[in-house]
Amino acid sequence: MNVIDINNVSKVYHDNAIPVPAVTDVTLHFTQGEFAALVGPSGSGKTTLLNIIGGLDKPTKGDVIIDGQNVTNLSDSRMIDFRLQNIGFVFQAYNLIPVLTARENVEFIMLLQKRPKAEREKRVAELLKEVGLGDKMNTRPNEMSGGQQQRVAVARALASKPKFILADEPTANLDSKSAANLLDIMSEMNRNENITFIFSTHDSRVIERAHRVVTLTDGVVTSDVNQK
Amino acid sequence: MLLKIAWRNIWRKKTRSLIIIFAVTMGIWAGLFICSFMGGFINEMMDESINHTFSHIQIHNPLFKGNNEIQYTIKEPQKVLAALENNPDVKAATLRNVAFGMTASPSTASGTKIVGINPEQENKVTDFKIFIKQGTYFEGNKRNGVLVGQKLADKLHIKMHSKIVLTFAGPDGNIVSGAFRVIGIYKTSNAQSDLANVFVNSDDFNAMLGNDTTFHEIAMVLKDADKVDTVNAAMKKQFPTLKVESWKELSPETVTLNDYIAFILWILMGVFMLGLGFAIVNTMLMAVMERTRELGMLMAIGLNKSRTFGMIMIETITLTFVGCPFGIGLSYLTVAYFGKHGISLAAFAKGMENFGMSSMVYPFLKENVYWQIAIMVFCTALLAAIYPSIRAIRLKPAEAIHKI
Amino acid sequence: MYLKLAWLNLWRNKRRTIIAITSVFYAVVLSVFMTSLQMGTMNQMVANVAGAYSGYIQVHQKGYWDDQSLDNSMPTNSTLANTIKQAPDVDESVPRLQSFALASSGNATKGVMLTGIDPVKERKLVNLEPKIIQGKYFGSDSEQSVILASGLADYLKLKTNDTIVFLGQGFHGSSAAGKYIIKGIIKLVSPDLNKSMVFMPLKTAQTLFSTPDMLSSYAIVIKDVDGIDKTLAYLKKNMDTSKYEVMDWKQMSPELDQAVKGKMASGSIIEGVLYMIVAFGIFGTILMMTTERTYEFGVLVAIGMNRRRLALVTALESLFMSFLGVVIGYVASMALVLYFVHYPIHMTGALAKSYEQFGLAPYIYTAFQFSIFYNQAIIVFVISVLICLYPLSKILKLKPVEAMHGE
Repeated sequence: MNVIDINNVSKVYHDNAIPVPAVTDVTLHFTQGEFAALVGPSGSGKTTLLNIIGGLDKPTKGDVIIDGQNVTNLSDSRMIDFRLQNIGFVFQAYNLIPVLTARENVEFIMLLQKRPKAEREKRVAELLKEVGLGDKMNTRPNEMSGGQQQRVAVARALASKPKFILADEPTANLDSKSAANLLDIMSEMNRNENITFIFSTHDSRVIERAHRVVTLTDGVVTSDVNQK
Repeated sequence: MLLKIAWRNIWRKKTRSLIIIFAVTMGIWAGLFICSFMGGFINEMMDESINHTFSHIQIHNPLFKGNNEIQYTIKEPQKVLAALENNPDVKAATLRNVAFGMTASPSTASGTKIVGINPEQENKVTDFKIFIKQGTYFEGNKRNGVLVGQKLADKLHIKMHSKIVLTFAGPDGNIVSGAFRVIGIYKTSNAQSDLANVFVNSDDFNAMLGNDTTFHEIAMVLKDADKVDTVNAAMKKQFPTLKVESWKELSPETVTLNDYIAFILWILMGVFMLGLGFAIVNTMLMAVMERTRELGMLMAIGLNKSRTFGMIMIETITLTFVGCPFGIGLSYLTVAYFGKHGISLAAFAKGMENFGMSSMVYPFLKENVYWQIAIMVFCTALLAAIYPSIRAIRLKPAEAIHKI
Repeated sequence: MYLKLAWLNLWRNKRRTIIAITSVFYAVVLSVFMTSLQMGTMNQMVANVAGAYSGYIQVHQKGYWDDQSLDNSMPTNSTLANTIKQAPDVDESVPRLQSFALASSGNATKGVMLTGIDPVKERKLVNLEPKIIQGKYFGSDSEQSVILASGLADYLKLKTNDTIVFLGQGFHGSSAAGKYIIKGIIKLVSPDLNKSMVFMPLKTAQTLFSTPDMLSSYAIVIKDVDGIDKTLAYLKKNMDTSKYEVMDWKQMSPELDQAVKGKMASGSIIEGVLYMIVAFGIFGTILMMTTERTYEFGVLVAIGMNRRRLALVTALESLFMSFLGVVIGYVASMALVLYFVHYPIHMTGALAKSYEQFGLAPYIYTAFQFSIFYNQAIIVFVISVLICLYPLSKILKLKPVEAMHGE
């Protein structure tokens, strides 16, 4: 079964009564363990598409089916819960709660899931070590570099044991070294844990490492290439 | 966890939080101070009422309406007095005669209440002696001595040792009058009562009426002022043929004024709390808007609406409450200090005297007021938190995250 | 140009602007409401005491107030009466003749305060008719009847149509004696007054005391309490002050005046506290707004906008916001006060009952006075302008790079 099925999804915005088609008739399927990138210039609709996949936005037409469940018409509240249990997010910036330490940020999502204390503590330590920040457990985001913050974000995204992780321009604010580092980690997670990663990006460093590249132009899928 | 986040968020913007905390502290302190000031005022008033005028409880003949019904005396007054003196709650009781008539000097006359007292006994019930400014409080057995108030003395153009004539109607309707000599002049802080009351020895009063020793009024003071209502009720049962009244029944105006001031204070505090509430709403609203991206992110990763709502609510309430203990603590200290040393209102002394008050106010607050304030502040915080919290949950994650 | 820029800037971020405006708005509304309540309560206090019996202004023969005997009464003078009528804001001048007398009936005697009244004019001051609990009001100003207060009637054991006798001292030592029918019995609020007041038609009283055509006082009913000083000034100017004296309630009841002054003083303190609280509210809002816009300011200064110009534009924005808040607050608070003028705050429970027993209306009133709105609006405007100096100082010290570094 596919992890994600996007069937004939279209999204039209109404900007001051002028309809703007962001995404038109997109059909895509993702299986478990994919390491895919949605690419395209600004305005291509990749952010909108990513939002729709993540349930942050609802399509005007079409269905979104995640792990067999049709989430297209879930209510806002249900969708929030669904995201909590099934989807991990890494944003371009502002991923972390500024007043919490790295450890607390990662633990936060597990608290929301009401996981028991022992499990939380174990997993937090594990994950932060895996992303190479075992020694920064008690530091706050403003005491870390951009790259370190993003790594904590990945750890947090993984902590909830999601079906897949959506990353919206995760490397946009990072220098080459940090970007490479981050990609290594995500790549490793993808390999070892078989977690699906879907990026929205126009960073060539990311596109290089992706296994599948879906190109969007003016809201339509213009190419879908498996390159590994 | 939400509590932790809320608490730390408060200190994220120190200046903003300090402003609200300061506002809450000052608001509480000022509000409580005003209440304590009024409280001291009221205490003073009640003290006046009780100590100088009504005492705690008075007993009369049921038909005596304070309207000159001189024939309505108390039956077997000595027996009643004895019973009262045996009552463990009663500190002291005294007998009085009361008549409404005229006090006349060579130049003018004035309508007054003529009160016959037993000086020794009276002194145990009221502290009137301290008001004697000239002369004595019936010391040295002089016959037909009278105590007049300064204001009356001024009106009648008399002074110490002046001769005046007291006139009133006796029980059978005949006009009775007697010549008296001023043996003392008193001045209380209530000018109206100084004008209206003259005091003579009961013996002299009764002598004017003939041979009978009759009395119209028994006034008593209790050992524990708070027990007035229960003792009053008990005495009504004990003396069913007599009219027993507490100072509350005798001076409903005092009780009313008390209630009125309390009512006004509630309105006042309400307005203060409203002011604070608005300040809090606006500040938190700004805080929510400032954190749009962060809130969007939280809702994206899975913080549901009720938790988001709760988070903002907790932050608002906690912020408001930090100032609370300081405000209350400050008030407590202020009331303690001024409660002891008093605040002088000398500038308004004249007006206050005419209303029967001294010009020193000793602020006072009952303990439950502190709790009431804390609850009011809590409710204000609760209500103030609602709107910002609603704004927070109305955010759409997708839009919020990409906000500039 | 800057004005336009400032104005447009405001509406760029509607939400923020509205929040800032509302903080000023709340400040105005609350302070107006508070002040209006205080004024209303004070006016009510004076009205209950001065307005109800003695009147706000009285005119007597010179020297009457210090020595209130019949010998100091004045002959009715039409010039004087006219002068009074022509004074600004005068609704009615109520003539009275007052003296102490002994009332007796059967075996009982009591000292009373006898007041001769003009039955028609007195309606505007001590309106006896609605207080009548037995019998009727006077039909003429010379009938041989009296109206007694109920406490007095009880003591003398009298009811309507009974006869009552008065004895006393008349003008220049003549004796006064007369027999009258009790036309009506009234209940007065104050227990003391209720035990001692007697009302008689004016001409009848004048005959009793051998003071034909003479009066103790004119009690003046005023249309607008706030105009009392004008009325007073007019009277002082146009009356023969060697023969007559004119006094307002403040002189007649200095204790009431002091009480009012005391209340005003305490009122100022309370207002001060309120200003402090709302000032915090405004400051908090402005503070947050400034912080939020730091990035924006940084950008502007970085690309070359002169700090002073930026400060000017921001100052104009603040002025606009304060002004709007104050104006809207002004209008809204007028509506609020007006509402409470028609639907005053009702007292609760025991308090309401006791008030009614005293014959007073159990309400707390608000005063609708333009000076209140105006003054409060100005004060709040000044406060908010002062607070807006804070963002200005921040702008002038701004370092663009730091500012743009963001959160």
